[in-house]
Amino acid sequence: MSTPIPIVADTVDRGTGIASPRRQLLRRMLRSRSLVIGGSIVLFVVLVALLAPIIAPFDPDHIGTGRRLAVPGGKFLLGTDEFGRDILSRVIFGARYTLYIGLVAVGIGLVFGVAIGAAAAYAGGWFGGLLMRVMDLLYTFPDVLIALGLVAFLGPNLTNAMIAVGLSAIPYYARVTYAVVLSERQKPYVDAAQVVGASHIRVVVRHLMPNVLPPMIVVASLGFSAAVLSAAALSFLGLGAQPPMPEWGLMLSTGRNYITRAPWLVVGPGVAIFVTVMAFNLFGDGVRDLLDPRQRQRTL
Amino acid sequence: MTRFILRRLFTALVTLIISSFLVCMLIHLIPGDPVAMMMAQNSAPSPEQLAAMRHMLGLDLPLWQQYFHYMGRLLTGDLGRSIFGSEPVLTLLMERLPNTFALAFAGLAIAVGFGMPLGFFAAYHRGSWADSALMVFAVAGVSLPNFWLGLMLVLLFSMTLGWLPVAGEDWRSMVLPAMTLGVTYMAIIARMTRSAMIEVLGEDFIRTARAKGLPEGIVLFRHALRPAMISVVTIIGVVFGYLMGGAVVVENVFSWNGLGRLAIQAISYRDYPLIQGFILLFATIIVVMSVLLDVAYAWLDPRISVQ
Repeated sequence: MSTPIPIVADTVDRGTGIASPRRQLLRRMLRSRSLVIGGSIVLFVVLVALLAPIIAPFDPDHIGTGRRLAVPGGKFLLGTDEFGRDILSRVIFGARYTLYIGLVAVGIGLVFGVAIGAAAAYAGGWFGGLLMRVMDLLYTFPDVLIALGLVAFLGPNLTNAMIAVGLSAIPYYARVTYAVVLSERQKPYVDAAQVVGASHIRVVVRHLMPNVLPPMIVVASLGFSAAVLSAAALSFLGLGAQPPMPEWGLMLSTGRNYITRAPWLVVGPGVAIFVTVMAFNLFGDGVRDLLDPRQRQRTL
Repeated sequence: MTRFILRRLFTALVTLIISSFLVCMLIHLIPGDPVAMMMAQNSAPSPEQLAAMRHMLGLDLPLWQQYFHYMGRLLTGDLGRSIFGSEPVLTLLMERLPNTFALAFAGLAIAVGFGMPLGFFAAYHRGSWADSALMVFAVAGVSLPNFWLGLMLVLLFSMTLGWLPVAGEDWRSMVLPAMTLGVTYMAIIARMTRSAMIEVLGEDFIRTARAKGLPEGIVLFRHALRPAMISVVTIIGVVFGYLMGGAVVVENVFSWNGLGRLAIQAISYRDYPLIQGFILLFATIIVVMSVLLDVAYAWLDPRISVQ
């Protein structure tokens, strides 16, 4: 076996079987800083949400756990709010709401967006063209505005806010799906499947979708962070979560009334939103770099 | 070029028609009877009052005629009347529009004024620590909730340092909301400028210019700047739309008397005609803005209008 040329060691490795593709992938994953940092924080937030009842020091909704507006420190690491509730416990339980909102909103957006995008790309013709024109049109409107408009008419509460945020992201998912499916569709394996007599539905579900999936992970991760931001903004405006839910955007909204006397009310929940959103952004960026190293050179 | 502009105006018109249709149909999202919901603030409206309101809004017509009724009113500039205070919706919106525009443009100026030079700098010093720092800043910037950033700026500049007022009507009170808006979108502009510039710097004509022995300053500002700017201009259009959306939220942090605050008040009073007018006005602004930017884009890059 000849010694690999050092500069192209990576490519030579692959051919000589020194590292299996899976281990290579793992190594590349660990080398991507944004993937590791983002992924760890995402995992941390998920764990906090799952273990909330165990790790939270107090009942998040119990009024009068401590003094009203107690300064951070001692028993209450992040202080207490206007009802004497422990802010740390509320931030911990807030992770549940955030992940739940993000999952529902991304779910709604993905289901409809992927269906519309895939249908438009696969069908093509005037129908596909028209569908995508409408999506392009809706895409130019800021998603916060679309969500705001929908909530205004559906009625302000958390369920409607999640629906509105999900619906407002449909154009985004549809456009990405459209682009991905369009490029996949032209590949020979699609023709091959059709030649063997596979039905349209079968070609889309069994052949196209598995290839469309990896880029959709990127899209869903970045979409998740956008959904969390929009939903928190709606709650902050009083159009989403309603008291006494320990939802981060809502906590900021009530906390700002006490900003002069108790500024710590607006610190914890804000940091929580910021860190969570950033983690999903980093994770999405990391996965994208992994899938398309060429892209990385151009944008990063 | 004229043909390009005409075609662009036509698509803008179609966009506006579709938007007005969607806005008109929004009223049917209201759970239950929209008219009863609207008048629920009055103490027990009589059936006659309900019928009169239904007729005024054209909701007694068959669904397909409702849009024409709405459109007919729109064409005469009638956006309906606010259910509260009964002023014309258009008047209410126009009163607040200048404030929102002032805020959005100040935010855009900050975003572009700082974002573009930062992006250029990072692209030129690609791989340096400054470049990495900027990219970290860019990810952080898009992840910052603008309403929280606003609160933090108030804490720092108004409460701790006492430099700037929290709310008010003069230019000093605009600094914090404009900064809040600007910082978020500065990150996006910096990132876009950077990647556009990196792409241009890899082109053959830049290598040629350098090979000719041109001073680096000329290569950068004469040869690289314009093509890089073209891709950034297209992004500015999208950014402006999102900036207007951000303004709606930020206005409510700083009690800025613009459209965003009006919209939230309208939503809490269930003032549906006012909300519809607000959405339609925003749609129009965004469509007009995108036409203007497309024309600017075609002017910067003549290849576009030919395609």
